[in-house]
Amino acid sequence: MVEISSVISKFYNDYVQNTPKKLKLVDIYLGYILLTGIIQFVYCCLVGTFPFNSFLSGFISTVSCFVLAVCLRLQANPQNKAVFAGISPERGFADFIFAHVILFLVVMNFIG
Amino acid sequence: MLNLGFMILCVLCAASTTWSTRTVDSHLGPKDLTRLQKVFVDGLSSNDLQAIFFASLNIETTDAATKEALCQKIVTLHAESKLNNFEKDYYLIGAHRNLRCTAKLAESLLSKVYSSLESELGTTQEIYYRVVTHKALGVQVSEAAQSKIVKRLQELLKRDDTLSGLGYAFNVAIQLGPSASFIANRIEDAVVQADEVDGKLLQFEGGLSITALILNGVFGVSKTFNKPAPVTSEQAVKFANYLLSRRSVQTAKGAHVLIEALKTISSTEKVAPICIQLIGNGQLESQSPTLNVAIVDLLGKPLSPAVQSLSAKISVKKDNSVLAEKIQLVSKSSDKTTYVADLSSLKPARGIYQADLNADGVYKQKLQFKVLGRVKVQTLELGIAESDASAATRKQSVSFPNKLKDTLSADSTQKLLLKALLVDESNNKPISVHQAFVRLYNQETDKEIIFVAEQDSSKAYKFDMDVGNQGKNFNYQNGLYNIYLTIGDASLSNSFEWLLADVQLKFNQPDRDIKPSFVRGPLPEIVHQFRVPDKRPPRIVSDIFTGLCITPLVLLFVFWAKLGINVSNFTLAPSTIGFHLGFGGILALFFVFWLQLNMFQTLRLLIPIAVFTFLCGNRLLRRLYAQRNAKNPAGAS
Repeated sequence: MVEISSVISKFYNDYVQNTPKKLKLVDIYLGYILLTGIIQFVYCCLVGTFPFNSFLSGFISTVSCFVLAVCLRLQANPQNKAVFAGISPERGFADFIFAHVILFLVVMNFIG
Repeated sequence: MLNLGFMILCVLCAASTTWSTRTVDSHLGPKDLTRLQKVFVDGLSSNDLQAIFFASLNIETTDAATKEALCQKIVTLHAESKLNNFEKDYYLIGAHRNLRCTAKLAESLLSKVYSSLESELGTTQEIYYRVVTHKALGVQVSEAAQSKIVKRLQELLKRDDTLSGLGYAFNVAIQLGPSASFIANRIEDAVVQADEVDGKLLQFEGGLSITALILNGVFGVSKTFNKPAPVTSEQAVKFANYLLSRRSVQTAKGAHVLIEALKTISSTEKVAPICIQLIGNGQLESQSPTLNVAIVDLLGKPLSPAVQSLSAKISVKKDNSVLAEKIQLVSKSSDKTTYVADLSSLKPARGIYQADLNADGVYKQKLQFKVLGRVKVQTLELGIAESDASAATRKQSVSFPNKLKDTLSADSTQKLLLKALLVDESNNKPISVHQAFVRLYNQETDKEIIFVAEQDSSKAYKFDMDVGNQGKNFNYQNGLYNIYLTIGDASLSNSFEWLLADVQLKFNQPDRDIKPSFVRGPLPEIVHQFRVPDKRPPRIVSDIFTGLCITPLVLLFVFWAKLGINVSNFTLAPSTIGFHLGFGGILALFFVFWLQLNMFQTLRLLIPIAVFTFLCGNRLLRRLYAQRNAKNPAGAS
């Protein structure tokens, strides 16, 4: 038990110290999306999925946003520079924005 | 063991082939002959030279005027005919002779015919026609010409070995006599080429005319040159069967060759099959069972040395048990073709029998006949019962063939009952019949309905009809119905229909409301129904969850603030403002799209905003990149 708590505290300290600020921002954003998605899911479990298209578009939009944000985080992480050579964080951000424009268009169309 | 098996096999084969020996099932009866005669009469009045020739060969024309007209007609038909020269010459000359025309034939034609034998003839068919034309003219073919023809025949047969070629060659040889005896060796060649059909018929490829041609040829040749019969007796039976199967022939030529061939076969005593058949429909009355059998040749004529003894073995068809071993059939003095045996001493019961007939030990035939029985109605009871109660019902007896005096009546709560015991008149035993029906007939409406009476365990026929349930079958038509009992069987000589009684039937009327659904007209309009929306949750629940969904957003900002967002980089460059405005515009547009726009309108508006945002964003990010590179050149790549 002590080990686990020490591991966790070590992990937390490491995260706080070594992670760039930009990535922390993205992580908070991810947490926000995750929370929203969970609330939607709880609603669907408690009340039901009607109207189904609305629920689906809402849920899909959270999932997609989460995925896109993870992609952005991966591309913006300095540790992954070698993997995404030629893709600067700015380019990643532009892609992120572009993907969101398309995503929201679809979601709005589907929401009814 | 093997030998024994082989022997048994041989015996079986022999047994299976000998069931009918040298006999056929039918012959050319008076009906067929009249019909063929009619074909000839039609042929004589037709516009076909060939038909006129063959008709004139078979019927005499006595009327002088018709004869004269025919004599003129054949000359014109000859001129128009599209047949081969040799063939139409023969038909003209033959018909001319048959009709005994007085007018002379054209000299040019005759000289052409006479000179024809001098030249090289092309086919055996041509030779045949030329030779018989000479015969028809009454002209002897000279020795020199004969030997020339024989030589030519041999040449032609070497080259052309077809069936028809051989057939004509045989017939030429019959005309020429001894000089053409070489042809006798070819008989076997021809006969083996016959095709067998179903093991019953033998024919030559090419149909009736070729078969008849060859048969006449081979029989004629073997007779002319004193050879044994060209075919075996089994083959003769099969050929005869084939010829008899073609008795419905429609052309004069076909009719002529058919009769000719049958005559030829039946005149060859050693192999000629005969016809043994039952007289009448093969149904014998049980009181006086007399088996009548006719024995005739293929053309329906009495045999010339009549059959001396005819015996029959009678067996029951159902179980093959033998009823009598040797019954002699006696020739009737009045009619030479009829043979009679009285079976009353055997007391045959109702059923189907088989007679294995044996005439002089040479001809064998199997025939089937039926002995009919007589049915008697021993008892018949008729009554009306309550359909729900099992109370004893009053039944009335009716005796055949009377009708019940009083009229019965039944309503929908009752049922009609009938019970009949049918017995064989000879032994008073109950019998089953093929058909036992109860028919109810309404005279007024001329409608009837038929029910099947079933046999119960005591072999009595029973019928009961619930008036209430059966109303639909009667169309709820109340009224007076006649009750008929119909008894029928193929082996009964007195099948009957018997009017038993009258019954007044009263049905319960069906609901009249259902009836008028037959009325034609437009069906009610089908209005589209939308799906009923599911029940929505209460307003408060939705609102709570909407709030809940917003709370993470608050948390987001709280945490970001805690982390300390660096907005120092935010400059007031036009591209920065443009990008944020543009992106905000896009989101606003989507919001409007959700509320009121459709996809096309949205896209039309989206494109300019998106282009603007893209340009601004591009510039902004480029600047950020340049800044970062300037600050940290090592990080640039």
